[in-house]
Amino acid sequence: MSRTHPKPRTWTSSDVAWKGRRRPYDLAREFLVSFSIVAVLVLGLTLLFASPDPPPMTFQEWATQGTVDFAKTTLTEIDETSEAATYGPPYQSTAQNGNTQGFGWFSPQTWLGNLFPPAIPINTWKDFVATPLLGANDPAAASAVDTWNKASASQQTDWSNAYSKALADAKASNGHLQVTDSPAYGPLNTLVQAQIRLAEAGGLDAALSYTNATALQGGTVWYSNDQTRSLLYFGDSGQGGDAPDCVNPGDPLPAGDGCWFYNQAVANTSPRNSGYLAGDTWGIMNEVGNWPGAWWLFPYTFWYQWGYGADGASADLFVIIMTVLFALPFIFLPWIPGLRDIPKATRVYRLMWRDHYRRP
Amino acid sequence: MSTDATSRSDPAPEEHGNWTSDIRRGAQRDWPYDRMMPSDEPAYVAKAFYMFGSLAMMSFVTLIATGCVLVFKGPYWWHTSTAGLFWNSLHFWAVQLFFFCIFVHFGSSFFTAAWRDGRGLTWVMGTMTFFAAIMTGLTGYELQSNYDAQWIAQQGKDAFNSFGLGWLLNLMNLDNVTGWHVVLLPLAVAGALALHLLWVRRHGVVPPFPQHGYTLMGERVEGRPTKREASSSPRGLSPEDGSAP
Repeated sequence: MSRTHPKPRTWTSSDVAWKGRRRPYDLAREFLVSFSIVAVLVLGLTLLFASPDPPPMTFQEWATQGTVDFAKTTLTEIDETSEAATYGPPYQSTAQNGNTQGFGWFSPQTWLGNLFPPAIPINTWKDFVATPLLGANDPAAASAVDTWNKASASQQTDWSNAYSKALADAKASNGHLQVTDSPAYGPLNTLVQAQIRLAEAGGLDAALSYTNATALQGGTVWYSNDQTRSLLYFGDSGQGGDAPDCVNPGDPLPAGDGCWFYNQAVANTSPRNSGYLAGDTWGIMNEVGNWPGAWWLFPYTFWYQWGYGADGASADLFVIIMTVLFALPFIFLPWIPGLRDIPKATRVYRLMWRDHYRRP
Repeated sequence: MSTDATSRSDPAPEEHGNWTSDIRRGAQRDWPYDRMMPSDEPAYVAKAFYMFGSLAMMSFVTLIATGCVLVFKGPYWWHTSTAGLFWNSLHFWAVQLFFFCIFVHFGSSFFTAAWRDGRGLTWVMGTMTFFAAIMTGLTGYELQSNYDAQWIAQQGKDAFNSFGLGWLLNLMNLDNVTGWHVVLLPLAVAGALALHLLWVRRHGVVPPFPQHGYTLMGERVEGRPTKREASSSPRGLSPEDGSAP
């Protein structure tokens, strides 16, 4: 079946219909000139400033230089009270400690994060501590893992409370945690000391990658650059920046070793000289030193600076909602009366097209 | 088919109902060669601020080119080699320039109300390019695989997780991030940019707001004084004003 087109459609864009003066224009030349300008600028900036490459934090460094903080954080991974352990989707099917974000019934983290529950399974005791230690060929540690696994929940809580008190006043010297073992701690001191030794030897950095997962067809996953476990472990240092030993932006690192991961982002001390990476100082749109950072993220990080976005329980969800709410009128600006009339009202265009408006 | 400088229309009627011929007819109408590669433009286009659009595009071309070099050598090259640091730095500064030019381009498009006369979709596609570029830049900071990357991943994960999408783009999994940064997101930027450019060529650059004494199309209204003429001493009309060559 076929029919002819009923009527050819015709339209004329306003620049084609323009009856004012025209000028020769060379698109190809403009592209070449633009590319040359970009090339010169990029090359010049590269030769002048290069690019930042602050050394990544390692478990080896953390355990050696921030031994007590590493021990305290490890305890929260063992007794599964850390943020990573209680986060909820996508790491666990259900959250604890009210960590799942939402406003009343509105909780995309619960709906979407649980589509394939749990999407990125994390059990901090097994993944962060037990499995790495069992692979470390340390009989005392293996025995301690077994003791912890077989203990009742109440017994684990008693040990954890006692050991937490011991760590509160603990000191470290040259990467050695100075806590005398006690029956009140159960296997905890053995576990934590073994974890410190493993980390200081460099073994924990490798053991935490995804390679200790069991593959579907048997064996283990061998190829991996998944640092999810490592970064969640780091993030639990200093209770996510809430611990009392977390420093203020730009301060030097404190004499003690608490809040290690967070302080590396906030303290202005080598080798990272970060200074202002915390969320309340525009966060991730900054980067170390005086580099420009991801400044173009400001429409998003803006909302973290005050009000509910700065300290609300569901601050991240709030920030996403606000970013989207403000992005929508930006996207659909041409159809929004009032907003689309601002250029005409401000008359900045007369300055921009001043040659045009200068004509008689 | 023929296309003149002042109007465009469908070529001669032909069989309708064939999708291919319909698409071809539409493309010939809206994107004729003289429109895609113009050799003249209205005089109001001859302003430096219009160049920031093409500067942004050329920054993107530079990003693709330097990104290809970085792909060849893998994500650790710039930590251990001066040559790697050099190419990584070119990529880094091209990103900064790209966003700078985009922001200036947004500013000039806003203050000239560039969406007028049916150019709304051109604006929308520009914003889509920008948002896709933001995601590409964010994932690029992860691929730096240094302390900044660690911090941004650990902090940024919460935003994705709070909206239930942390399993889709896990900033802490470099394997996951690499695919997004090197393949999916550049395709999104390139796609949005291509549509933006096609619509720029389809509709051209918006004319200035009409002024007193001129028609909407910039044509001088004979006998009607401009504001300047009305407020100053009488003067004769210039014959070249208001007429296209």
